[in-house]
Amino acid sequence: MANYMKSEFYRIFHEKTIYLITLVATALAVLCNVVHYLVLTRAPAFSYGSVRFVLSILITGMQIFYIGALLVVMLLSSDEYKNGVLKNAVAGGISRIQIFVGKCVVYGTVATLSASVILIGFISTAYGLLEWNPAAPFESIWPLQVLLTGAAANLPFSLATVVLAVALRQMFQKESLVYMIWTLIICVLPMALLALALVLRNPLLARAAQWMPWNYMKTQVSVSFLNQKMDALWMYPDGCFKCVAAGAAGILIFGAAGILGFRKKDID
Amino acid sequence: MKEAVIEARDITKQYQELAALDHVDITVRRGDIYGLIGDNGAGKSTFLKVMAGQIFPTGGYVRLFGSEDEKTVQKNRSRMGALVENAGFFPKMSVEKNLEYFRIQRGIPGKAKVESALRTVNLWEKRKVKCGKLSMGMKQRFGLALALLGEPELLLLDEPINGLDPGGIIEMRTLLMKLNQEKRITIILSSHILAELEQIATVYGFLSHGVLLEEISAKELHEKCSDFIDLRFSEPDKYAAILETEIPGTAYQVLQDGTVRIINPGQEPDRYGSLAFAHGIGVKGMDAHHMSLEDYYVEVRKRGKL
Repeated sequence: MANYMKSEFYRIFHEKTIYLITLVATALAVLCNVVHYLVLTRAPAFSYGSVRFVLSILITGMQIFYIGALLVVMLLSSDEYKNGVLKNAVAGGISRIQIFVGKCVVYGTVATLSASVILIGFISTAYGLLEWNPAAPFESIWPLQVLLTGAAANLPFSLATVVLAVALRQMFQKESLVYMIWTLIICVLPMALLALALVLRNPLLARAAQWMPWNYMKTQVSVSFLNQKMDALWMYPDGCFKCVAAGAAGILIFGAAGILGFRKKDID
Repeated sequence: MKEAVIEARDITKQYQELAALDHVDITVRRGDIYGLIGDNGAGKSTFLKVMAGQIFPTGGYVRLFGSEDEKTVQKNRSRMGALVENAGFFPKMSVEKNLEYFRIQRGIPGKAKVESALRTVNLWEKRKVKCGKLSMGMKQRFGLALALLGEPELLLLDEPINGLDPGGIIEMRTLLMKLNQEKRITIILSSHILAELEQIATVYGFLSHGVLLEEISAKELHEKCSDFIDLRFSEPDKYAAILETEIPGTAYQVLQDGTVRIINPGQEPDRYGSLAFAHGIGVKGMDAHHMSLEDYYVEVRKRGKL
């Protein structure tokens, strides 16, 4: 499996795809800060030209890491499926399980590296261009701490979404089907379960729904500008544990599903 | 007897109602060049895909290099090279980088192996070209370079001369024979071009509608495909008696329709005709035949349909 992983790293870093993904995403993140900066220079009273505001966009929208992970997997593996490369690996003596696990590790690592570069670009340009007050923690260091802690706490589930994307990619030929099923599992099912729990007023169902990252990211993370309040579940030990545990469970469940689904899959 | 490299036993592959392979038994021995012959949809590619581990058989088992345990069989696939249907590659990467990718993947030591494989198939000059830009014939060469990477003991080649120009076909034939004779690489290949197979194969397997109709060595085939002369007479039995006296040791058969078939004639065809004239037997007709692999295949196929 080590050789398979080495070859995948070789391929990914010798192709342009990952550089393009990272470049475009970083450019968009930087552009967001530049736009805020330009508005701020023309309207000094503009209240959204602060580091606190732009970082809060990401703090309340951590799900973007899940979507980013899906896109990285889909774009990196696109040529492989269209051009029947996988059959060479199998004919070369590598088992399907080794391929699956190897892909999860490699894509997970590459997606994390890419996200780190994007974050560095986003944070550094935010602090370089926008307003922040070193004397007031809420205006300076605190949003960064919340953001970085959140990114770290969400890393396991972001990796779980990579595992899910790889698993679906191995099981289904059609890209559109992979996107649909992934969206169904990661977004639609949690929301449906939460809605059902509310309609049925079932506390057990509600508790289960609140363990799903798409739900707790929406209901347990908030930023209030009026009260200068920032609240996210990962700022507390039990909330942080919840994020890590949900991520670990996701990796195990999606990993097991991927192995079962791909173990006996024909590669035409 | 030579060691069996591939022993496929009772292999079945069912796609819903269609049996792509129907209880197929094939044995490929070390040093063989095994030619798989069959029409489109006969099951040649399906069989090779099963051997390459791409697809799983619905029934039966494969013994590869003496092992039939599934995990060991998969591991043993690292000892073979395969080009099934088309060569898989990353179109945006160069020929050289694609091969380097597979070299790393297979844990083959030494970057020089990539150069050696590319030189073997005359693709070294195109090493910087992106794989997606290669012509059909070049892609086939790339596929063969990939199959040869790491000096395999067994090669699985599905229609390897597809897309090659006449020069390329000759090069491919020469290369395969060289690999077989000098490096003792066992080869199993399928082709529609029977004349090509006839020149290199040492064993043939005839597949039709997923069924293996016959497995025959080149030597046996040569014996069955011998030259013969068919002579039609008014009195075949009388001619047979004269033949035995006048040209002793002649191998012949009297067919049901009265035709006398002289197998591997040692004399000029006219000699057999004039012998009949000399004894007052009227000759109704005479045909000299040479049975090629193609003729034999047509015959086997007819038998298979019965």
